[in-house]
Amino acid sequence: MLFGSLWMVPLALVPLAIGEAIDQGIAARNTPALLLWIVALLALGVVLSSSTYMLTRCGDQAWFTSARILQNTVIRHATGLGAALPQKIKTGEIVAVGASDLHSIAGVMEVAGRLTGSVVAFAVVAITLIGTSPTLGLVVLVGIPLATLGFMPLLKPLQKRTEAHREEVGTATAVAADIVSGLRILRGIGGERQFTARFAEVSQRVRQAGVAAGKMDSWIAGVALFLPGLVIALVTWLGARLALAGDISVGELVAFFGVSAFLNVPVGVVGEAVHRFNEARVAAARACAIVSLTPTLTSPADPRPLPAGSFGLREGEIDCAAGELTVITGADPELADRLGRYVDADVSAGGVALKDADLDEVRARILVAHNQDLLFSGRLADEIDMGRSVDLRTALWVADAMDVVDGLENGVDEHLAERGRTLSGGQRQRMVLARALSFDADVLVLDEPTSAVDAHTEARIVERVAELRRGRTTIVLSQSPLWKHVADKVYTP
Amino acid sequence: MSTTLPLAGRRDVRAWLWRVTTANRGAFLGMMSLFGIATIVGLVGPQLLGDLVDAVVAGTTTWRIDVTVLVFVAVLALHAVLQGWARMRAAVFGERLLAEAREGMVRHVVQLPLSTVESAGTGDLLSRATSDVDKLDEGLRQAAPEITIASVTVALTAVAMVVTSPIVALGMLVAVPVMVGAARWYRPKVLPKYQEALALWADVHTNTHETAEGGRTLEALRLRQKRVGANDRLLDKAIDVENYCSKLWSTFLAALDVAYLLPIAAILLIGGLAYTNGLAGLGEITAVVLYARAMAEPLGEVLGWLDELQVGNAALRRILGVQRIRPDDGDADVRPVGTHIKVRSAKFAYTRGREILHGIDLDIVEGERLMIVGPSGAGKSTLGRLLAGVNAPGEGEVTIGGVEVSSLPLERRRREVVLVTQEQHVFAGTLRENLTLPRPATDDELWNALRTVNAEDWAKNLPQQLDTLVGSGGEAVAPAMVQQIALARLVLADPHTLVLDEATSLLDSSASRDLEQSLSAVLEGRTVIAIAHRLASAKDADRIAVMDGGRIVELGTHDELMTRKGSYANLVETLSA
Repeated sequence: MLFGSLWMVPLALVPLAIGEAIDQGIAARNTPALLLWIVALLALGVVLSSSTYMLTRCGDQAWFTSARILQNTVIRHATGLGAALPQKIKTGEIVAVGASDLHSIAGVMEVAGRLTGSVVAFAVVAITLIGTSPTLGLVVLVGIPLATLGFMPLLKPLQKRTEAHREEVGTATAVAADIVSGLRILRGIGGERQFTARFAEVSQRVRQAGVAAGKMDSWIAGVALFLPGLVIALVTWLGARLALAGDISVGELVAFFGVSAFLNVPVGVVGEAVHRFNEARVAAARACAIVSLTPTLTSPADPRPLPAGSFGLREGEIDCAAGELTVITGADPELADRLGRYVDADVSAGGVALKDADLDEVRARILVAHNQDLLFSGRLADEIDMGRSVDLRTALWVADAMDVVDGLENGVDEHLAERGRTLSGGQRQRMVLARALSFDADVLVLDEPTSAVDAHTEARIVERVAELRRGRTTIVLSQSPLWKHVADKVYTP
Repeated sequence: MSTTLPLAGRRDVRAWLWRVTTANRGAFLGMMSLFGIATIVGLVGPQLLGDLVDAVVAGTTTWRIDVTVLVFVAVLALHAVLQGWARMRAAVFGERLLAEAREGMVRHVVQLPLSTVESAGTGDLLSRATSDVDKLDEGLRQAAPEITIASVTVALTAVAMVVTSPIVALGMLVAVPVMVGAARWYRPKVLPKYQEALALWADVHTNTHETAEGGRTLEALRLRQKRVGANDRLLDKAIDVENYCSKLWSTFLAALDVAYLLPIAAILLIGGLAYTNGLAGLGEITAVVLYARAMAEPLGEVLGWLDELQVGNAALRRILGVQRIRPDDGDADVRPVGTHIKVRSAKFAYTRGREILHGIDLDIVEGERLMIVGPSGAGKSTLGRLLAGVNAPGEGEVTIGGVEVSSLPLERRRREVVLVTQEQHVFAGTLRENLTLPRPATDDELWNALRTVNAEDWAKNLPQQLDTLVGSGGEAVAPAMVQQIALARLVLADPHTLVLDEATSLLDSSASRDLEQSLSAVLEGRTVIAIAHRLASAKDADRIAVMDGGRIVELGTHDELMTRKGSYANLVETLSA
């Protein structure tokens, strides 16, 4: 903001210096005076140039900082929703906030510096002018703010239209994101034309909304040109009359003309600031919508601690004893979710109702590993090793995934693609299992952990998991007969 | 990050702009001439006031002052109206261009060869389809008209200067070396950086997308902090590059400020000398100085918008890059005869030098159930992709009815063979839209398809039945139902051959029994190639192919393979032990 003033003030002083140079230098044929004013002008140039640099840098810095904070906040909140995230909000929406709303909001920060500069420069100019000619000074002082305020009433409808446009853009982004996410299906079985048509429909709505907002914007641009122009006309008219009457000099007239023309800049900045602010408000509303979402499940106000060590889980007749390996076949699909409290149910954890425990503690100590769990992109070692007491090599060995790693060019340093797409189904499943084992939870619930591997591999995995998890509560939901052989207890509802 | 999608070259960008502009010639010329006229009218105003100053110096009447100012106001009003109108046209034109870019992008994306889609990162494609189009918005919609306005202004102002006083106008030349120097220094430095910044933002979006998709996994494995940390690191990287660009840009702007004041100083100096020598009048000098000042703003605008254009250009290169990938149109003239599938010494490698399949020979007759089994990593899925024509064999051939499968046009190929993988997606839209992917269908057909896959009751219980919104942001669909929907789509697609790549293996146990029933209804009367590791249903298969290390090591019926006591028999033993 300081640099904003440093930038705008010399800009405002330039016409005054030019006026003096013409008056005292050229018109008076006074070469030393002319040179002096030229040097003054160049000095202004140096100040202007360096303050431009600083102002732009500061504006951008403000932009970066706010962009970083904002993106971070959205991600923090979105991830805080956890399992409820996909149901609460479209993935495309979250990406859209990061992709475009972010820029709108951060843009306000960038314009703030220049806005301050404009106000300060305006004040400086007005004071200088009043010093030279009170009448002209007053006209500028009153006229310019009036001209700025003149187009304010138009801004409300503009904001509405901008909002409508943003909304359509958001929809289009979501549709595009959806198409891209499901592209493998579209390409596999068809429907490209249908979805292209659907996107075209949304895209045309974006266009219409954009044109509506653009029209409003155009008229505002026209008015923003006309009103300050009127003030310039008034100043020049008065100035010319005063100059004619001999009240002010020609140089001063030039200065007045230049100054009132210069005032276009601060007025423009104010207009831009208002415009940016409007866009940012719309964008901020969307970001806030994400931030205001709350998780579906909450911890009780007064949580009870879960039993120490590896504890058992019980729901109705199914009693998974502490430290044992329980295998459940043919359970209903939601059982795993109930045992890990992804949905509320009457589950008791070693005598404590799961509902009464702190959700964070539940997540830390009971791990439900699913086949729908995602492998994130990144270095294999970072993505699989959860940094607990079961080390990476052990986890990979138990999941019989060492051959997968050996087959990769860079071993554990290999970069895993999004969703582990470069791996085959069976390889992926073993990676997910290795990750779950590495988490070393007090209670581990595995849902069909070996459904995508061949019998030999499954046999090895079953044996090794049973060995690794000895003495730790492990619950496996599986159809496979191999698991039954190693189970302490088998349930078949 | 793994960006495999190409960037378009400068020539592609130019060709695209030229094509779009010429296609909208009328609108473009109309808009540009409006801007031209508005600008010229805009220049009349200052000229009038400049004359007025001159007149005051020479001594004039108040009447003349009044009239001049009134004319000025009239011109100003005209200017404002023209400007508003021109901008409106620009908005209409710009929006049309953007819609074109957006829709063209999606049109191309949905035509990408399946093999490309499989290997490309979703995030990269996603950010090209979303944020890059946004960037283009800023660059394209406003830059073109603004640059026009500013260029016309600069050119006309320069002409006016020279006409007023050529000698004094010479002072303007001192700006040239500074500007040219600054531009030459700035341009080549900033362009690759902008490209880099966009790619880094794409990484950020990829990360966001992945994070948002994996909400459940994040919560279960308490990966939240880690993901947020990864996000921050990527964000910092992107912002670092942006920061570097900002430094370049700020220095460039500072240089322009010098370029703005230097000529004014030079003009005053020359003007002073010329005035003393009687070569120029005070009014002329004043006018030239005013022109020089008037030039500063549009010049700054041109340069600023050129910068915007650079960003737009970088974005456009990413967007058009997708269009560089040739869609697999296939050969429309080929007609398969019959449905016999033949594989002859087929070899395949995803990356050069790492061959996955080392020569496969296989014959599949109509209506056959072939099961492909083997340890994971044996090349089963790859063979499946070759059979479905997703990838073409590097050597050898894979044919249906005598025609290379991968050369069939996609629409045609889908009527022959469809690959069903574990990956499923419910599109945000109605259930109906989700089902009618393969072809339009009547409600009766849709209900029939749902009945076939045992999903009728589920669909009947939805709030708006077929018109219920499902997918992201709509009604949640359980994973098992996602599979049923996928199967219902298959019923509607009705290909004679299905390649099932462990299509139901990743589901929880009880659901997959229901699914197997639905599946067998779908498989009825088709050739089926099932890639599996579960041997329970292998007995029902007509033949079993055992793969290992990229080769088919055993092929025959269950009984044949059992008596051979090879690896298949071994597998069955392990399981029943």
